[in-house]
Amino acid sequence: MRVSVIGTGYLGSVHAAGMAELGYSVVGIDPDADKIAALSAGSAPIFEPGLDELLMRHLRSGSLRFSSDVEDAAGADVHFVCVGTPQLSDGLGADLTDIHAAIDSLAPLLDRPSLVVGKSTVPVGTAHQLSDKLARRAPAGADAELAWNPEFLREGRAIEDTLRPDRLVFGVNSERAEKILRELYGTAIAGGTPVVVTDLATSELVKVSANAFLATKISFINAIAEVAEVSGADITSLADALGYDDRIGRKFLNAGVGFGGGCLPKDLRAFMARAGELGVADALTLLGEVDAINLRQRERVVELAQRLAGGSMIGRRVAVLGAAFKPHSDDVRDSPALTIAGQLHLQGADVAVFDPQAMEKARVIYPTLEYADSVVDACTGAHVVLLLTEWPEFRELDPAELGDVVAARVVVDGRNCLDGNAWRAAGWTYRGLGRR
Amino acid sequence: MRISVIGTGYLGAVHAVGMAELGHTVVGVDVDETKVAALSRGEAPFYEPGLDELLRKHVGTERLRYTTDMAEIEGCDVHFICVGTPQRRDGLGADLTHVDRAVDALAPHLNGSCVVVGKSTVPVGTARRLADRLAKLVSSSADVDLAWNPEFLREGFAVSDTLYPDRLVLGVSTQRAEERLREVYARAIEATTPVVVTDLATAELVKVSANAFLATKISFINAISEICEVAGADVTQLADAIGHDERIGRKFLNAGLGFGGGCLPKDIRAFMARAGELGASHALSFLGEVDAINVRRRERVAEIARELAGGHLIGRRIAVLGAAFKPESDDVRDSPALNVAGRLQLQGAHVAVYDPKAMENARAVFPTLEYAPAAVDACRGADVVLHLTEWREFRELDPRELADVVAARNVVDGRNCLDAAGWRAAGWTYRGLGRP
Repeated sequence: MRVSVIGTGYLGSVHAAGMAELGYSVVGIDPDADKIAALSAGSAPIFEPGLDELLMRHLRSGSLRFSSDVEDAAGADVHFVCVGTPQLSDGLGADLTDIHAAIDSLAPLLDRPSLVVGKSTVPVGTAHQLSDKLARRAPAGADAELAWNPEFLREGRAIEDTLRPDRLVFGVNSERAEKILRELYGTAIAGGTPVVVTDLATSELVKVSANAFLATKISFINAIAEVAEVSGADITSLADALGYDDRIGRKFLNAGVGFGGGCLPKDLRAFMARAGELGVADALTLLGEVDAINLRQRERVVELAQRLAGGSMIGRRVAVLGAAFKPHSDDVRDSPALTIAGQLHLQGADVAVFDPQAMEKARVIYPTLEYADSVVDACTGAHVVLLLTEWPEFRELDPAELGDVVAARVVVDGRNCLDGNAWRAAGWTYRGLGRR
Repeated sequence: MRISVIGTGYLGAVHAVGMAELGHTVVGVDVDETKVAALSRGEAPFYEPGLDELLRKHVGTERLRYTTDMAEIEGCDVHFICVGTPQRRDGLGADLTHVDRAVDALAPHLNGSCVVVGKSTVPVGTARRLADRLAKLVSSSADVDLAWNPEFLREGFAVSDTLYPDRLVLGVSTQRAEERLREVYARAIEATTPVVVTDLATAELVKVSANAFLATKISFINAISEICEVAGADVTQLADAIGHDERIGRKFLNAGLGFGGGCLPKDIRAFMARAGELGASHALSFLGEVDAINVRRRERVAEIARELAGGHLIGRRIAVLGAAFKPESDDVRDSPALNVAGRLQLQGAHVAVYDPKAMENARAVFPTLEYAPAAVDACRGADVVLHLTEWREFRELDPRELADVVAARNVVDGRNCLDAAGWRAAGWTYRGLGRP
């Protein structure tokens, strides 16, 4: 089967490489010529473990190529639409410009039965609209069919999630579309991946609902952490106790500075905006609370740092460990770590940031922060050390060694992932969130 | 070990029998003479699968006896406090009168080395206060520790949850209390039940947090079902799809009429009230949304019933299948089913209720509804049939047989668990919640 992938951002580049790995002949399309040049040279636009290797292997074998000309998608049997749907600059909804543009450019090329498969995260109702548009504009008419197959990639594990997903959701209008998708993902299905076959609207909602749930789970435990803090309880053992209940589960139950990144916050807001358009804004006011709890955690860390620094940040040196919104990623979009670093800087602190992967991207959006070459450099002379992204190398830091370079042994563990006792034993004032 | 159990309501009755089954010598104490008399005859004051058998097995042997005389607890190694903590009449907080009274009554009879263990669900901070109270009241010859060991009983599974819990939470201040509790639960611990040992405050918070999470999960999927309804999506398939994500899990993700009963609603309200007292009311304001979404489901079901009845309910006959707040229980406290039944009756409908176990309890709180001896009797002549508690026998109803007795073939599936296609094929208008 020949496959085209429209859009070569994070989702598109991973999906294109994954489809090539599954044995298909793949062309990745993007109007951005720079991106295409980089990808054609085997260099992914983002850091994702294993992606560069996969790209290189299939570029060499000839099963994968990239092009800025959408005409090159013409020969494919299945077209995946993987373009971005960012937050509107003038509102909370999703900006669907790119996805409409992708369909507009693709439709005239579809002169024989073909399947267009949306993977992007979109407001419910979008697929139905696009499906009508496709049938109107494609020379093949109704034989150019639309299906929805939402992506569930976790950054840092995206390749694995593409090749061996934990579930597949097919939103389809016909048995033909279902059959093609089942064939396409035959390897995963044979390997036991469950398939949920449903309609377009439900498949669109699955992705945003899953994200909304995960956001709710994180904000839930953070809200409880606030209560734990005022009642002298310990959120970590509380989460352990909750997690043994299989109706709850331990995952995504770590209290800390909360979620960020390019998906969760934007998806949450777009979901609320869409509910409003559908006349059921009430249904999702819960998510407004979830968003507010999440942002409050950043404030709490800023306040805690202030208190520990003696009240004023002016002239204080703060080390920020972490810039990416989560470990194993170089993504700094809506990163809690950088938001906190930025706020402390604006209050007069001298902020030095270190991150194993995300330094370059952080520098682009926060150019006025200081970027250190290592953890030790960032911490040298610091009055407060903030751990804000849970990279394994930060967890393994030796508090005794670090104690020698700082100006004051004060650490805020924004991810509740350090061994509080070990740091205290080394003479540090240790503060977690909702922990004693 | 010699064990006393103070309070013989739902929790206390099950716990006392469970302790006897585990091989301990148990005395159950309650001020209520009728309860004690019934239990002494081997009769549980409520329906719980497996409880009567176990009660008959142990009561009257040296393993288990019930009394109203507090002096009989003397000499026990461990005293469990299992009294109720209902919602206060004058607010949302928990009424701690029974707990305080139990401690006061217990204290004079304590001598030697013993541990008092709270199992009731209480606001965080209560255990610390009770420990102080106890220390003041006991005689100088006694060596008493207070510990907290929250119950996690699920109605319908309470016996097995006592004998084979999925986790044990031990909130302790001393090593002795931990050792004593490990001995009490030695059999479960040997069978690899995980144990979380923590402080009093955390142990108190575990129970309310677990309930708050489950309530949040149910209201989350119900909020999504409101969107599904307006977007034409199917919340059942959506739940299947997101439930495959192990960070989410399929359990407690059934959209429907929502939660009720004696614990979830009262516990989340008491939790909010307590957060307010601690100066952190903002932390839990999201639970107010969870509560509101839940109550909104009841309105929605009444609305759908009215629509199907032709726009008004005056003189219409409605069959309500289910009265207990959940299946395998006769508990009707804050039952969604009865709440809907009551609403419809107040709007002029003639409502006939049937429940396999909860008829007597339902009659006590809603005496003006009609109670039918069987599902088919409740449905006779009905304009709308409402399925509101998920008893197995309702799922197994034959829609063709039932069709012959109703006045109009309208069914509202408030638990989304009937076979919609089967009912439609038998000529019924089927309406679920968030399902097409």
